[in-house]
Amino acid sequence: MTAKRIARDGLLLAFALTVGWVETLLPVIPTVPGAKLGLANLVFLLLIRRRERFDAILLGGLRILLSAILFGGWLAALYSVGGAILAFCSMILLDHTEKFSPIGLSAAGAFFHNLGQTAVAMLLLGTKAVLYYLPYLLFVGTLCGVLVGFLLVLTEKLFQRKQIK
Amino acid sequence: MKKNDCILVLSLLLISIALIFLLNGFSRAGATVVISVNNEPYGEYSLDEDREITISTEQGYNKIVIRDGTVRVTEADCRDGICKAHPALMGTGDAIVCLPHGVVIEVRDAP
Repeated sequence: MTAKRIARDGLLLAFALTVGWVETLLPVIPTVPGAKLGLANLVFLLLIRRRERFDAILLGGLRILLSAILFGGWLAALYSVGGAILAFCSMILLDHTEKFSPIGLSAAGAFFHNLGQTAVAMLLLGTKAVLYYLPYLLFVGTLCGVLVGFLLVLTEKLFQRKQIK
Repeated sequence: MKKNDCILVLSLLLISIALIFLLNGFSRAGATVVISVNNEPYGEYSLDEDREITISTEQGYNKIVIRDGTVRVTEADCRDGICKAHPALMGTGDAIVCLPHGVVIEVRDAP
């Protein structure tokens, strides 16, 4: 763990936290509760794509923890953990095959994140009621995943052009 | 790499659409409103009787109104307000969930 890596990860974490909060300020869509753009995933996708999976997972965990502390909601944090576990697994596995671009990774991440969150909510609230939202959440979430994935493609191209490591 | 992405994304989207139809296929006019808070039963109310229910938890409150055979959340102090924005329920299987407050409102058949 070099100082440079720590500093960079710190920046990325700050970005994820900030953008993750800012996007909650966007208008809510009624039938799709809690549907967010998932811009914070840009950070995790970036790291996974660079094969820095440890950093990705570390920042993922820290982000959930800090989000809970800063913005409140330990119950919500639990939902996030469930979502993150499935999402990270899917993104890392897909990336490992080297057959998908960031768009595919991001879409899968979004899909499985929503799936995981809903699963945890079902367990904790002891009800199948949350299933009602799931299909809409999966649909909108996957679309947002494609958008975020596309943003990452642009970012990676930009980094390449400007020689940023 | 783009082709695989297309297949993946389309598959995911199709699965979600399929689930939409699957879930809604089981729905019919409901009879009872069942409310639970943090996984514990709170109460059951008939959809036919107009009524106002206010639930207060540690995290905040939700005001639920049953009227004209539908149920909705009219007031709540949760941060996202999704429960308030949700359209009124009337079919079985429909639900409104206030995640921050752990409140689950479902419509079911008569017990």
